[in-house]
Amino acid sequence: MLEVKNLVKSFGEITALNNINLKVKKGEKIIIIGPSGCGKSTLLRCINLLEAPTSGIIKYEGIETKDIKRNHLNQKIGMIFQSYNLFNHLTIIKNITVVPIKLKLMTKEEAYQKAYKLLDEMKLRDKAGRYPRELSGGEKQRVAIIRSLILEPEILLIDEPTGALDPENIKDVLKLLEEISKKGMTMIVVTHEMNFASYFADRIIFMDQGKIIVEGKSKEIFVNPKNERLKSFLSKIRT
Amino acid sequence: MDNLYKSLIVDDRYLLILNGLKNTIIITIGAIIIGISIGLFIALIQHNYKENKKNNILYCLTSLYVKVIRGTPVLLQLMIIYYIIFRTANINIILVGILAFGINSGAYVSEIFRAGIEAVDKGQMEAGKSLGLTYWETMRYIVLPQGFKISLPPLGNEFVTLIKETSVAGYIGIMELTKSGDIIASRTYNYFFPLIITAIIYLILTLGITRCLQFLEKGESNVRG
Repeated sequence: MLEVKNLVKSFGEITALNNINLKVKKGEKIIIIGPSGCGKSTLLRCINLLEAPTSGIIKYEGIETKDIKRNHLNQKIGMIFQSYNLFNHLTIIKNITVVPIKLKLMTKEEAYQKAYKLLDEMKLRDKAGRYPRELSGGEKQRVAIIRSLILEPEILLIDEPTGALDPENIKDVLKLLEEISKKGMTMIVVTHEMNFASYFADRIIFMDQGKIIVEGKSKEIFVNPKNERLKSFLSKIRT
Repeated sequence: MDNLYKSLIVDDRYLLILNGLKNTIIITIGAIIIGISIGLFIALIQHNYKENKKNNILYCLTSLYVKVIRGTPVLLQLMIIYYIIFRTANINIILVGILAFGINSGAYVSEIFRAGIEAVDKGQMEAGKSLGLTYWETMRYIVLPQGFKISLPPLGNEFVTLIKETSVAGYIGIMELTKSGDIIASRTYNYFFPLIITAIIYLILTLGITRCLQFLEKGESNVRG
């Protein structure tokens, strides 16, 4: 459903992504790991066109993304950020419903109904009237996920969802991601939570210096890594 | 006491003050409306250029406008508009004042809005886009409401400055507040009461604006995260 071919992204002199090739099947759960600055986030941002690729092709459902209007593409490809990026001036319920209402994808009643249902499922109903700054990090991230889910995206790109959270909140968010994945959502997750990665992923991709170094099932990556760079990365993370 | 009586009551001179006050308020309000419109327009054009590299020509033109207006005295701008641009046109002089001060204020307000928009976390724009909003939709529903809130305090300062600056309008013969005080003073040969009274009225106006904006800021204090 998603195909990345020879993707290059440079910022001036710096090459953030160097010839990335990637295919994602419907329903697949992919985890991307790697040291910071290796281009993981940039890859996600190129896929949903927050950054324009320098060269290379990205295809969504067989169509090149540069031929699709960015805002149409982004309704299909949701994104979750490390820093949540909830809309600070809106209450939680409005954060979730503002986009479907303004884009006329739903009536106000439909949007609120659906939002309340999702909030109920995540036990966040009592936060509906609060502002983002009144919520904990974990709650904000779960609201951000609801905000994306209400639009029923086909793919979720998730950029270090737990990077700014404390351990307790991390557990909640990871559990939620797992529940979503069980419903068949296609997901690409950048994370440093190796434990989560090992049981969650259908496929793990290790990136370094803008390249995909190794890709494989979690066993191949974690139990029996052959690549030297991957080995040294894992040993650093585990200590 | 006799002087105070002469300054206000004789020949109904308080009417002069009231008329001046009325004109000062009309010019200020008109200029604020024009200033906000121009300022918002320019701030949006400049942000759009920086974010999307679009509208190069408009960006250059608006930058030039801001530079010229901020780099020349407002009195000179007023005179140029009155004596050169509308020299032959039979136009209401108050309208000239509104236009001149509005055009002047627009340059300053554009910088205030620009700074306000830039102060909104970049993640807000990205989040809006990643949910399928266009750049302009995100600007309108997400970024601008937050940027406007950040702009309120400096915007209040700008209006306080503006109301005081309109006092130079008397130079081209607009009967505004300062001019009224000046006229009364020259007729009564007494400067104390007309000028002090005028000053107190300005003070009431500017303190009033400041109060209003403080109230607005409090009312919107939920906006900031």
